[in-house]
Amino acid sequence: MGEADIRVLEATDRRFEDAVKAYLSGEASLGGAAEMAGMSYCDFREALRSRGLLAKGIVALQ
Amino acid sequence: MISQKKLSIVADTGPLLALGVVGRLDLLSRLYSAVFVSASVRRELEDGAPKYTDARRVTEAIDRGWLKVIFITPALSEKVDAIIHGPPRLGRAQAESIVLCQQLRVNLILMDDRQAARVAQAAGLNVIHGLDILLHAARSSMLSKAQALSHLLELEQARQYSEEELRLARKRIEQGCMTHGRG
Repeated sequence: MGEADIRVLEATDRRFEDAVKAYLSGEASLGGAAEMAGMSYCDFREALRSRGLLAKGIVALQ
Repeated sequence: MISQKKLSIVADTGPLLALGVVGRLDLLSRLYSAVFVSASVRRELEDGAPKYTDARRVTEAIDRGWLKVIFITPALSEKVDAIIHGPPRLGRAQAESIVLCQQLRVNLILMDDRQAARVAQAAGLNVIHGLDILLHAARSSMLSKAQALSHLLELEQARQYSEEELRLARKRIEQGCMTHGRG
């Protein structure tokens, strides 16, 4: 893997991290954060679920 | 409490996937007179269908025809863009779901996402939570108490909802108290 590949991976990771932060802080919905991350809704949802973060942004049952 | 009998509803992606997880999308067609999704919701589901069983189950429901896909009219596309940019920032499918309610003059939206639900409520819509569908179905005897509790367990294993939400839903089912949330 070359330096350019590593830079792309790092940028992708940063984009994902920023999107997760936006989701958890309430700046973005799940769909909005997925688009920020450049991921499909289902892939982003799965990434959050695997980290135990999905339910954090789901509206509370009242 | 909103009586869902004979009402139409617009559904967002998240709760459809939750019902797909438990394989009970049929409850929507039994509880509501018509269930609509936006074209962007369909696209999200189609993107996920090759990899995820829940998404595939929803696309199959669309193929069967009772889950109806409606396109946003060009006149309302600016409204979609405005909602996307927020704040909060929403996904296109969520924004289209909210605008589709206005386009179809439907006052009920099935939506789980906290931020998107707030925007929907601010737009004057009544928001139904995905778990509410199981509660309604149990209240309407479409599901036995044991079935409803079993589906909650499946959702818990899928980590679809928080432990607190599932605990509350479980308590309501056990007590026979089937009120839903917002609206």
